[in-house]
Amino acid sequence: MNVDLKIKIMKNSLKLFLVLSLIIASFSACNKDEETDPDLNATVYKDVNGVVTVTDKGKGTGTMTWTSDKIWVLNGLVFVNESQTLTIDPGTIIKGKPGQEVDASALIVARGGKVMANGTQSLPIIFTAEADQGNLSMNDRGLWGGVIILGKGKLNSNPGETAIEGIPTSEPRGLYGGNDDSDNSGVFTYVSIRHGGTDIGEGNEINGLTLGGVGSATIIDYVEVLANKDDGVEFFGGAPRLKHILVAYVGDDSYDYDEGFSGYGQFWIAVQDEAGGAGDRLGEHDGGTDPETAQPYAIPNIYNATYIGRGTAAGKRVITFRDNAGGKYYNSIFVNQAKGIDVEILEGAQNSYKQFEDGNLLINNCIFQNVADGTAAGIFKLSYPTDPPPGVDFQAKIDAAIPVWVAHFSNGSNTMENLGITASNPVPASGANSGVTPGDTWFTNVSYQGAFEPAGTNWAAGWTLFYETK
Amino acid sequence: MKYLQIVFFMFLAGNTLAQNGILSGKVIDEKSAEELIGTTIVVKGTTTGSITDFDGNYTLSLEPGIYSILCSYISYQTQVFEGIQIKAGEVTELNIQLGEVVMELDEVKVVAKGRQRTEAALQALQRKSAVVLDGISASHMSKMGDSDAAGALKRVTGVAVEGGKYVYVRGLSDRYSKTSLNGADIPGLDPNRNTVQMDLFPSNIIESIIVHKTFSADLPADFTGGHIDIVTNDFPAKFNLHISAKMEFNPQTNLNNNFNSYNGGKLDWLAIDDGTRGIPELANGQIPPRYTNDPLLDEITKSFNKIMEPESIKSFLNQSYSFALGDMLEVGSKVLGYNLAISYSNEYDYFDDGITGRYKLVDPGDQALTSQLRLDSDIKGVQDVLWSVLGNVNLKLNEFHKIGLLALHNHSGINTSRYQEGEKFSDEAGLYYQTRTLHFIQRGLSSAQLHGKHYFKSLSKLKTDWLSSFSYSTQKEPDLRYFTNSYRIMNGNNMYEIEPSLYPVPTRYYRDMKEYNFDNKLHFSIPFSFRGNSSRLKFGGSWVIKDREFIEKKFSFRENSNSYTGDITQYLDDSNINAAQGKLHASNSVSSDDRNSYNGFQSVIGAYISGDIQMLDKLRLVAGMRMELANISSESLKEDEKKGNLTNLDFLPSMNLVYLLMEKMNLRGAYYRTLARPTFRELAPFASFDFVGDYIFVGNADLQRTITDNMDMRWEYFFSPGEMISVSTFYKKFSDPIERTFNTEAANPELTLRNVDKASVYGVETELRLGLNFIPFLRDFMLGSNFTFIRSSVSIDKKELSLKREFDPNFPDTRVMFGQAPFIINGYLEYKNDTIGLDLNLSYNISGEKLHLVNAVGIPDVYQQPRGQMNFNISKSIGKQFSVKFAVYNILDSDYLSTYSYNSADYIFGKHSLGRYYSFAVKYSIK
Repeated sequence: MNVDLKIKIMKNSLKLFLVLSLIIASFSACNKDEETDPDLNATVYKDVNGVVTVTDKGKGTGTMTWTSDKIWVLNGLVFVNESQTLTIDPGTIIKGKPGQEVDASALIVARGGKVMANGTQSLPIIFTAEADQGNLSMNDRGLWGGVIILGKGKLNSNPGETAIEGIPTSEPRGLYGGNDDSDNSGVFTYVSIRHGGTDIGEGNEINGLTLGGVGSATIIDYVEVLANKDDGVEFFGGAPRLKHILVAYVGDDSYDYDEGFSGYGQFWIAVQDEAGGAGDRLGEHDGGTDPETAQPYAIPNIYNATYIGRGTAAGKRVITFRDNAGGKYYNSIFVNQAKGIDVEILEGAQNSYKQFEDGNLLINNCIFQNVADGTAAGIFKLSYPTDPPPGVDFQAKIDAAIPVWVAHFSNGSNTMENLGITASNPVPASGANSGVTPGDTWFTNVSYQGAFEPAGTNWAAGWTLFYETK
Repeated sequence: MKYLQIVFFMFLAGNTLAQNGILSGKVIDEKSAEELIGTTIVVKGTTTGSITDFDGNYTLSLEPGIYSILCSYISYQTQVFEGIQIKAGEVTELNIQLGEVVMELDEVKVVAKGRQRTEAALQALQRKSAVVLDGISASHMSKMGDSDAAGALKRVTGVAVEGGKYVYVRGLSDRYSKTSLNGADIPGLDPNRNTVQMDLFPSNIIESIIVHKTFSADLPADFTGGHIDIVTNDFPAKFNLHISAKMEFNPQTNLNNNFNSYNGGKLDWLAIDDGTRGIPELANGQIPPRYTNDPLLDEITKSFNKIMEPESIKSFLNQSYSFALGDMLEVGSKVLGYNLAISYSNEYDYFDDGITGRYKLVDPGDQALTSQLRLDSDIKGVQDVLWSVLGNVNLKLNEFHKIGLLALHNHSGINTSRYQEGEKFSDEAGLYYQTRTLHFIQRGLSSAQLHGKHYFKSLSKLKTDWLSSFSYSTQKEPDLRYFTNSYRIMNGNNMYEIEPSLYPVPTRYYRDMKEYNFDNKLHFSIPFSFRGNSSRLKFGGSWVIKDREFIEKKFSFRENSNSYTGDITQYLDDSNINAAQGKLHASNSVSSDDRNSYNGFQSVIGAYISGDIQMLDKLRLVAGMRMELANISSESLKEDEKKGNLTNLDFLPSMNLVYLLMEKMNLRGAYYRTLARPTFRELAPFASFDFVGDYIFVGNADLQRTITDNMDMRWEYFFSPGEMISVSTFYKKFSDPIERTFNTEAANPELTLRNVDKASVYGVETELRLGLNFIPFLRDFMLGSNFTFIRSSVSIDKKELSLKREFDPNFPDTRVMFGQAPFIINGYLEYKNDTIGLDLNLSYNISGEKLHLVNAVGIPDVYQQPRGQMNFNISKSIGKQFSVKFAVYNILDSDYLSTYSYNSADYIFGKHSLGRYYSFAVKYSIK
């Protein structure tokens, strides 16, 4: 018999003895006062020469301020728990420790928690990798996790509450979703998130900025996501409103939405890494999961986007609408990509193409510069499974739908133009007309297409790393 | 050379002993089937004779001739058997049942009809047993051409064997079955399964396999469907030796130039990894992360084996060889029996017609399912090597005391290479997906058993038997490799990519499991008289300990931007490895490895008391109570993971009634309570998957044990030796059964296990074994068949149900149990002519559709479809010592098929076929 085994058997007998003694002890110790134990689950803030390592053991950051005189290092997943508020001063640098899977580091604002990250143009807040000494390149991806904000907004996934990708369901602080689309998770302005996107387990990577069920009262303005291994910004349901967002050189999709995202967006830029060969779609837009047709439908409104792709040789898409996703793009510019806008059509009645038929999916008043073969039929495509369901004449439906979708190119006042836009200078010299006026006062009423005023200033310059180096 | 000499010597030994013939058999009580100890067996009119030992066994060495044999025992009727023929060098078996004397009678004369088969002996046991038993004997196994226990068990009533390995009794999954070797627990080698792989036991070491379908207090309580006890050879009647060789050819698999394999190691043919698959020495512990710019990282990355995809090789024929010998020697007044069995097999399986499909229901109103993943190309090559050595020595100190020692080692190595390719529509139309799996599982089981039986005449005729068994088993999965990539077609060219956001990057796993199993059992039995009828009191105890260690290490291979061009060799080449430049580099996470690694410990202390009482002349009752105190813990090496910990004290009553309706016709009834415990793996947070892109399966630390209340009724009629008919019904009620479900909150499809409210299973089982001698020209034909029909119902997990009801308010709150077949049919037709030594056998078996996968909202569940299997074999003895056999297996070559069914259309989840097997075997025996 091996020694371990012996020990275990002895341990077991000992356990039995201990249980018995405990029962006896509990009878005799009923009146004893409880001693106050030091809280073993409290978060550890370990400050070594101004570098504070934060280790969350279950109690979250607490309500406190992270100041710019120190560097804050995330050691593993660090949560802002429910009813806690984490304030981050302008100019503060937060770093994530390296490590994948269980060791991944990330800042997670849990449902009911708040982050007050009020950076300024001159003093942006920076989230980056621990290894970042200013020497990393824009090819250095996946060195830490990312920033995850979770709220009480509506999801169309079941049961209306989900664990965010990569966090085990046994961690209740990883759950998001609810009934309050106007939920407030705080303020997130002038923030740069760099070099994140580590693998959190079995094909899950952390997005630069993940917004799970975030509500519309949350302020998210002027955010840069740079060189993330996975998506730039990913929305899971909810109704957040984001302005002035730059996603550059990410490994996967630039803007990704799922689970019924129904927020607003204006002045979004995406720039893919043509030379380094990274990046998948500029926009990956999904509706529901199980079932895909669950309500509420994903119908966000996005104005003034400028998406710049990897060039025609890379074979990538501008936007895929699928799994019953809707969504409306107005006054936007799409540049330099092999494939255009794909809309999924399925045998069943409800799908993304149906959203288009119902007016919930629109591409209106947009400009395509060097996208696909430069024809309406080349830019506006339908996608469908090549494994047709048995006994159903699906092909007839596809054949009927294609010309209708292609006709939307001109019906929606979209054009093909060369505005001379490049990744290093996304500001067109001239051109752009006034286009469609947004219906909601949240939007800034501007008279141009794309994220920048023609011949105007680049609002992303001065606080982002991407336009600092360009 | 030495080897050959030994074999030669044994031939000689066999021949010198071949002058006399042997008469042997067992004497039992006609009513209770209790072995009768000390019965006198003599040749009538002589003093040549023997006394039965405490197993009721006797052996008598006689010169060839015709004898009258007289069997007598105090207070029993003396029986005389006329015309018993003893042939030189052969064993004549004569099993005797004595009836108690009611009034003084003359001796009863019975004319024995030649040699009785062991099958009939087993049937006598079945008939007389107080519990519901079914079984299969060694002679039956060799007749049916079964090479291992798994093959043989398929022919037992209500038994189905899945994948040639795992046993389902009455259609209940292996969770509810249990396997033991000579009554001792042996560990299951597969951490995902509750029971032992049956193909580990070659048929030449098996005396018989007994399937207990009802529980009695002396058995461990953790079974519900059936307890399968494999009984090894004990005291051979005389020297015997068997050598056999089999070659098998499957046109789809063997001698195939395109057999899918890879260069694994030089000792794969012995089921041993020679170290080629080991973790590179440099890669132990946490390897440096890329950003550290540690040059060691490139060294480590380069030190991994470069093979990550299957290649085509030529496969040979399937081969198997076995060698067995045994003898009984007289050492002074003591008798020594020994057996040695060695077997080796090396077999291939291959298919290239596989299809793997995943579908979903996009909208509850849809008319059809939508494709998510369709891998039209699915090629799989499997090489399965199995060898075993078993030896036992038994010593009869005198007629009343026996001790024995058994040692065995089983070893298996399964080497799988798989390639799958197809469209992954869930990610993108026009995205093609290629995935490769290289998997080697090496399993070893070493076991030593010491056991004894004693009879104390002076101590109220107390009988006791005991055993102490120690097993050590290992399962190694060194270098389990997954390499997945995707491609899109652009202007006729494939654009290759590895996309970590869609599927895991190339990964290697190293898994290592060790388990100790220590089983101690002690049984006592005292006869007493109840209203003048002989009855027994039984009591005893057991302590079974299991201790498992499971370790997983995982390495993934990453790069900063995509450099994969469709050539794996080029991708893994040293020139593409450079962490500093963001090129290919290895990475790991020791904390994640710790989370997936676990230790398990289980201790079950059992004690029981039961009475076997002849209540009335025709009514026998066995009633008992068993107590089990179980403690199970399973904990991840990562400290903050939730630990599985169960402690239960259970009282498990059982009652079996046998009523003798008429001669050889019984009516039985039983009630008993049993349980099922979660396995270590099921309690651990360990996550695993079959191939990249498929569901992930994780354990659940909160699992509790299941309690089952069972009721059985059986009518049986043994109308002549070897012939019988029986009808049984059963009902089982489960509290807190463990069922598979999906994790409703997980971001990616994830399967797990949860205790659900309740389940019930009921069914009818019939068996018929009939000689066709009543039809003149079918004199030597025998027909056997059994049918089992089962209905099951289990509560659906609450979380899962509430989700399903949101879309379909009428969704039922129950479904069939996981893996439960609604019917099982076995049948065989046999022709046997002993005079010319010809034996033909045709068998067929099939079981109904089984729930294979529970799916999320609205997506129909996946069922494994029925698959009829037909085998034929013909064997002929040539002279006294040789026999040849030709067999065709899997004649119908039906597809292995699992499907989703929606709106009366079927969608393929998985499909492949394995082809027909033609085998030829030669056997040389001295017996």
